[in-house]
Amino acid sequence: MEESKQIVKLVITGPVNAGKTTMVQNLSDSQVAATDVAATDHVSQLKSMTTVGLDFGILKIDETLELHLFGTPGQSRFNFMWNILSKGAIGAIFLVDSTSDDSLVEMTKMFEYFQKNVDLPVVVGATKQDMPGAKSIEELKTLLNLGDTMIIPVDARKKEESKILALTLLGNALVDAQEEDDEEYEDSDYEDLF
Amino acid sequence: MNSLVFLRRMIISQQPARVDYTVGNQTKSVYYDRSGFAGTPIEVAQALRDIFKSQSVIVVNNDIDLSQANKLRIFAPQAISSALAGYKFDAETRAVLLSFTMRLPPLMVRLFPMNRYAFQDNASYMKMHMQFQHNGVFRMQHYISQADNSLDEIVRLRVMMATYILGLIAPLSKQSEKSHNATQRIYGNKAQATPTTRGKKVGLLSKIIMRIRGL
Repeated sequence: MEESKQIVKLVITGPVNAGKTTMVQNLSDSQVAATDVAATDHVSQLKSMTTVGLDFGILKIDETLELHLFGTPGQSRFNFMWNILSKGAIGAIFLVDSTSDDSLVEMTKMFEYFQKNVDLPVVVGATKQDMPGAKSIEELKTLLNLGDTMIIPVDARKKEESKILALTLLGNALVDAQEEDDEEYEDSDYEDLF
Repeated sequence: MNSLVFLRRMIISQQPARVDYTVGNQTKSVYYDRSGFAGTPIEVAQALRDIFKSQSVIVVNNDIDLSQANKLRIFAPQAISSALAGYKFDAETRAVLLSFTMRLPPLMVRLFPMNRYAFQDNASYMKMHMQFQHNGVFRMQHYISQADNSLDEIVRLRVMMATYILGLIAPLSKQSEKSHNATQRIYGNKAQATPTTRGKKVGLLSKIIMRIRGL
């Protein structure tokens, strides 16, 4: 009998044209199912195709575990999708275009929604840092009001940098999970106190 | 801090008992029954303070002859409130109390009208109870470490002592913690990941990290 597979999700989100689809492709070992269509609204000025559904890729971890990567559409009006995406997710990566003021405004809305409604480890990747007019990491941190959330420069086109961003998120999540473990007490640790 | 453990057990059992404790070279005793500690308020408060510090405390439950004891009784919450009013500790006692705190498991906090017994740190106790109500679990370690300054830490440690001795805190069973979390998940507005056991989560994350490194 075939052993049942466990599936965990990693969500890659952020405003339009920040590199989400590219990052899903970089981290997947299967062919990515993209739902890009020709952009018709203001997005058409940024790029010819945009994601309307979900980008989806699979990274097989072992025979019993798969990481499913979801790239969300880059508009805050799709925030409602978090209710579905966050179930079974291990974390979220936000990507933001460092050169675009519109991207920052959209990112602020999306991140505000995320902080209020979603309880997942998160890391922010600032893309296009090599482009003229790119805001520095410090400026982005202030403008986006990220608080303690980590923001890291990333070139989503480079697989190695996508890996580093994902590993940062997972490393932080691992530390949190280990701390939670440490808080678990065995009965024998305290039974003499009660 | 064995004296806290002995006092808690004695008060919770509500059986007649005699506490023998050593102060310097002297061994003293205080009687207890379900009505409270025998003695005047001042005597009982001093006895309890001595017991907190004493290295040698024994609770005797058998053949207790209360006829020798003072007829006056100080109800346990009143006695503990009085003993802890303004109670401060030296560095060594603080270290012992902090170490004791570290051993406490996730707790539930019971609400009891300590204000009726002139408990000076009632506001801090109320905060503790609110934290428990909000989170469904109370971690004494967090509560103590969140103290604003050393004076606040003393207050919180006193609240820990009072609530522990009087049985107002107790280990939270994993079942009830889970049940509360489930309720939070249903009524809370935060979308949460599907619960996995914690150890399992660490294992999953480790596997994924290894895999991504190898990409």
